Amino acid sequence: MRKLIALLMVFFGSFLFANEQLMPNGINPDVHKIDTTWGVILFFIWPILIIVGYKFVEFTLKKSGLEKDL
Amino acid sequence: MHVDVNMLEWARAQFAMTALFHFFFVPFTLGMSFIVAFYETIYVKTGKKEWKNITQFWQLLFAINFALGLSTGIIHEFEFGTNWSTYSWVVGDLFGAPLAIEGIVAFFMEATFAAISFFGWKRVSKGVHLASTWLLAIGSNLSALWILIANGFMQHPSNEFGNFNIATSRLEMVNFWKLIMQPVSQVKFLHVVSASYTLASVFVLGISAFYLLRKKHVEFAKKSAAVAAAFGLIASIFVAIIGDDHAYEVTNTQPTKIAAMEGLYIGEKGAPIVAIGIPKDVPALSVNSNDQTWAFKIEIPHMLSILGKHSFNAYVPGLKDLIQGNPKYGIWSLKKLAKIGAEAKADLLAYHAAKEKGDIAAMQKAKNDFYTVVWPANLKGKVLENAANSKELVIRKADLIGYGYFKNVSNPDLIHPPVAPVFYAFHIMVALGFWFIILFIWAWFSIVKGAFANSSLLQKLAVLSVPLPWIATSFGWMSAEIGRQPWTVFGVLPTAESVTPIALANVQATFFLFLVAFVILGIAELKILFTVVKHGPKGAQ
Repeated sequence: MRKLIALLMVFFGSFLFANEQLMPNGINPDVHKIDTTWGVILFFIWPILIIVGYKFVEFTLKKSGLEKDL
Repeated sequence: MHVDVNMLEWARAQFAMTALFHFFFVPFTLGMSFIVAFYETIYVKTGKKEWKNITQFWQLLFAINFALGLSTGIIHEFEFGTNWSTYSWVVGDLFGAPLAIEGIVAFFMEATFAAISFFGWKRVSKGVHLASTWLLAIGSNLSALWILIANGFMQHPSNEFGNFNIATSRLEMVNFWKLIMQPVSQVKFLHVVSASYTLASVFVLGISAFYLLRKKHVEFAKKSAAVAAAFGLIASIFVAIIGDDHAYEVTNTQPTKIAAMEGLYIGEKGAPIVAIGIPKDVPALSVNSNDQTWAFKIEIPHMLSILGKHSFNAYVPGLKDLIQGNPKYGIWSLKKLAKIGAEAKADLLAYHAAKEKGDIAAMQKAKNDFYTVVWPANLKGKVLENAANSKELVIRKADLIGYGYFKNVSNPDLIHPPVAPVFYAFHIMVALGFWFIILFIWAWFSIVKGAFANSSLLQKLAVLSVPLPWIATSFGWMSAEIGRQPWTVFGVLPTAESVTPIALANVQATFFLFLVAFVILGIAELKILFTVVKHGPKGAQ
């Protein structure tokens, strides 16, 4: 719970205190630095999207009465 | 290298034409492959013949499209060699690797399982067939992943994974993991695939609505539409969510692109978004106020800072700041960047001239200067042959070599993309994205309540919406690619330096050859699709 609160504080804190100093070509150094952990998390969102999509399809078919044998 | 400007424009036009034509098929393949897998899974779980018929009908439409998407993609790959050989040679190490993996892994995976899925209904067991359909969908989408990793490199190259080698005059890979897992590419992948799922869902919903309007194949249409509405609702909402993260990545890694997308000439804190507007074509340096660049606009205050920087009052640089520089925020002028780039270019030439003479000392001198750090201030002057070895972010002269090719800094508007086409493409895409969410929410509730089959207004809107996701995805692609100009590899390799120096007539001849081929293929595809749709589900038998 504490970790969650800390994470939320960091997230919302960033709305007030963003790094304003840019690189010479206008790029934000914080985002330019390659964060592979975030990249891996993003990649695994893809199968989650497919699974959630399929489960929602089954839910819709059952709820609408179009297919109850699922 | 002298490049004929006409030749450059023709080569760009040919690539744009091929990309747009190819991209009519790609999102449909990516989305339909999973929708067909969903239908088949329901068939295997229920064992009901009607779900098999539904699967086979939509699979037939998918297969027609799949073949054309594949063939146009091959033309694309050839164009890298014929028209863009300088680009391929300079960045082939980084760009070629993901393309090769796409060809070896994903392409073969697709080809193998496509054969079983399309032609194996009576030849393999239900389980093997279902697995093949899923693996075809996964393979198709993995193809997109590798292509978008290659494209992500073009949008956001970094010296953390690519290093310019003075000895070979090429950008070479130093960290494969960072190349494939950079968030710019992964966000782009999620945005493209979810937009593709939305596109395919709109198509299935629209065709199903067409049957319901005609009172034909009613049970088939109701079930098909239910699957499309549910998947489309999830996908279209996800497109908006991941689109926000995509905008964040673009704002922070491609400042000229986002400034052009939003028509922002003078950077500001708490920058607004222009929700609706008509931008004027004005030279950036003549602008003194952001109001003078619009014939008409409706703004949402602070929204660009919130979406692009995740901060209410953050500074977003405008096109004029990126040309003139803005010391307050650490941005250098284009003149300064071009001067350092020209020094790197001179070092490169000096290195190779010394190499020919066998002058080792001169080679070392040129090399040291080439790899000299120019940013940040605390590391300035340090020589760093491989920037990936540095714990801190650094910019060396070598990293700015692309700016050295902008000789005409007196015409600084060449350093950013044209505002109007990027602004319109981006904003139309966003508007259509919101329409799809509304359409799917409406359709989903209507289906759950059992009212979809009787709602003629919704059915008509669903039919009329069928071409819209193709417009949205094409405009999205255009805003990404035109927005990257004048670079093929952002900030590293200018488009004008990427092209093959061949005779104009060669490019013109192949342009018209491809145009004729695409028109014929396009007409054939539409004719077959319309015939299958007209015949309805029985046509799949």
